[in-house]
Amino acid sequence: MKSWYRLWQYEFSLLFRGTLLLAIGAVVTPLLFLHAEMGKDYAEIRRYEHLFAESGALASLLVYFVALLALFLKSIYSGYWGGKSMYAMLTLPVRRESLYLGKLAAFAVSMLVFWAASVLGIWLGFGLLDDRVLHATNGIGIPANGMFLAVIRSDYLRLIIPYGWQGLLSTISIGTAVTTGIYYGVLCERSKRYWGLFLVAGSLFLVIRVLIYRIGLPHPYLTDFNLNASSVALLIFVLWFAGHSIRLMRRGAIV
Amino acid sequence: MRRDGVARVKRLLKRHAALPLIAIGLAILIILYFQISGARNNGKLELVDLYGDRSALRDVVLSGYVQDSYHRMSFELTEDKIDKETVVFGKPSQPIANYSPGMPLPSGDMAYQIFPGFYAGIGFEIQAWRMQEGYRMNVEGTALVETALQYKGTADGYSFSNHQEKGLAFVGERIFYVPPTTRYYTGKSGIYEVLRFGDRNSMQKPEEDETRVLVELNMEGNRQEAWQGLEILGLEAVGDKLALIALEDGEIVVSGYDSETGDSLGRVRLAEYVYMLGQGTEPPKADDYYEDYEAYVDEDLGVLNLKFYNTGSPENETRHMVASISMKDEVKLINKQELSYKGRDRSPSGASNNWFSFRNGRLYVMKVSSVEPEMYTLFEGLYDQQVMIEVYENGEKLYAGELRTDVNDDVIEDRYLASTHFQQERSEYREIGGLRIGNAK
Repeated sequence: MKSWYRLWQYEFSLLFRGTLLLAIGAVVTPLLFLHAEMGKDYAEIRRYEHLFAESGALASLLVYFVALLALFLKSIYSGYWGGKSMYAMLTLPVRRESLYLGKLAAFAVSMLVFWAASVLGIWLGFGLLDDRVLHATNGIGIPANGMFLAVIRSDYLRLIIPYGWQGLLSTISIGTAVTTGIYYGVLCERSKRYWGLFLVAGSLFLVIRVLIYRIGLPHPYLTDFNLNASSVALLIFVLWFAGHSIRLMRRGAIV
Repeated sequence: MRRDGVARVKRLLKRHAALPLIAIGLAILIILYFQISGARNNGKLELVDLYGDRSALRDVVLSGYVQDSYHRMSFELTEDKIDKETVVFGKPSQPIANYSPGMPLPSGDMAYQIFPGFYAGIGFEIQAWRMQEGYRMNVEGTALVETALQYKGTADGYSFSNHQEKGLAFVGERIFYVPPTTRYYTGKSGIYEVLRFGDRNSMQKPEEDETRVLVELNMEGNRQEAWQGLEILGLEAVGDKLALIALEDGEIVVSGYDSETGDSLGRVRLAEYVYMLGQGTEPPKADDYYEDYEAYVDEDLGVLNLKFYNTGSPENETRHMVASISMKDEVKLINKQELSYKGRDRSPSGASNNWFSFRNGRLYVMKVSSVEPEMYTLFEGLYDQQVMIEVYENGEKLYAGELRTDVNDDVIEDRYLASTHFQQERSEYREIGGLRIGNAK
């Protein structure tokens, strides 16, 4: 256990700087964009979710998220490039699934940190606007209780800050599917089992379906889309990705 | 020394950095969750007294909700407090449209619409639609009503007093219908009960009777050129009794019928008049009302409250009359109240989203109006929603108050930014609905 803990911390230390930079970016950049947007006319009467999206704050979060995934990719591949530390790791006296789980847990921490940072940025951004509205001299302002309304109404905020357990399960299943899927995709590529990439594509397709559905709400009133079933399906993908990745590691199929 | 410290922190971070970050991350997420879920009941609701004393509300509970597609905040207002309870929908749904005349009339998970029938002299097809999540899905069946009416009006089509659906009434699962005819019809009509909905094309003749006559209504005496005869405004259900709202020589008459046997339970003349436009002599001089009444039923008391709109309302004033008719033991007029409001009193989107209740000797009014805001606004959908509460006793106004909400915040952005092709996404705008008045517990 102790050796796994060390391994985990070691793996995370490789991601630490990048994660921290992206997290700080996810908090600060939206605030800068929002601040710039608030200089425009009528900013104080806009719904927060509209202002956030149109200021570019949302786009910046998206860019950082993509960068985070790139960071994961780089962290996996760096084991095979240059120092080829992967082969040294494989000779360590630890079970090989520990190697996999250590890296995966490090990714999980990065994901969590980034998620919390995005949420914090959105939250602080609302505070910025709320403060501005409170001190507005023309007496008009955005909806009272705007943060709550934004979170339950806005299409993209519903994804980032899900209110109910169904949404939370869906968001978590998307996050884990993306994380394990990326790792699995690389392992498949390394071990030349390219058919595994179809599974990654399959999970990606499902993720996109879920995103379309959740962003489109409440419009797909009548669409027979079962959110919980899609979450379960994604988690099954996650189990397969993790299970097969561990088997690939154990067999030493990765060259 | 200091350098040592920095190095130690660096080493610690390198060895344990994940733990504090997990803690901070989880803390942010959890605190925010509690912050947001704690804010769910923060929607503004505040009773502001405008006239009289609030103690007039002592005996009643006023309830309703504020909702959009994503959440619903139900409230209960009593003399001294407002209780709020918010539900965030697991799956956002289409906003439940307030009924406005002309739409298929919803009842339970069905909605009913009426079309002219192709058989018999003058007949009607009642079409039953299955509803799902506020949407009309498919037609479940049709019931043909065959009348013994003859039309004596002008040749360019039939005339009706009200929207056809106003003739529908529901007693539990049972459906009743009376055609809302004018005095241009003669012959016999009736209150019909739907026996079954046939699964057929409306061009096909039903194989067996789909409706039966519960009460026969005789219109032989109708004369179009004089204000004479029987005209039908609509049908309402009060518990298991039916109330026929009709005009006899222009005077509003409410008749009660047993929905099982069709036996008359009595009738009451309101001494108020509706003169529908048409050919003929000048109507007698009297205060008169539009035919498009609104009905509010207090099931717990067996009281039918009918609201009529005075045709003589001046430009900047709206006059109503609310007649309360008890159907409990006998059909009896128990109250009549004239109401007057400044300005054009209109309901949001034409829907009748109000509640009138006569209880404990007082008339209680809860009314949502669509009020033009100070800022020039092109679209009525962007008007303010205003909730007024009033209490009347013995014809006198005891109390008036405004239930202030923050629902109008939702339209501010569009009021400023809407362009000429603005189309309102109704799911993102809160509406006030489900208004009810009951006795305090």
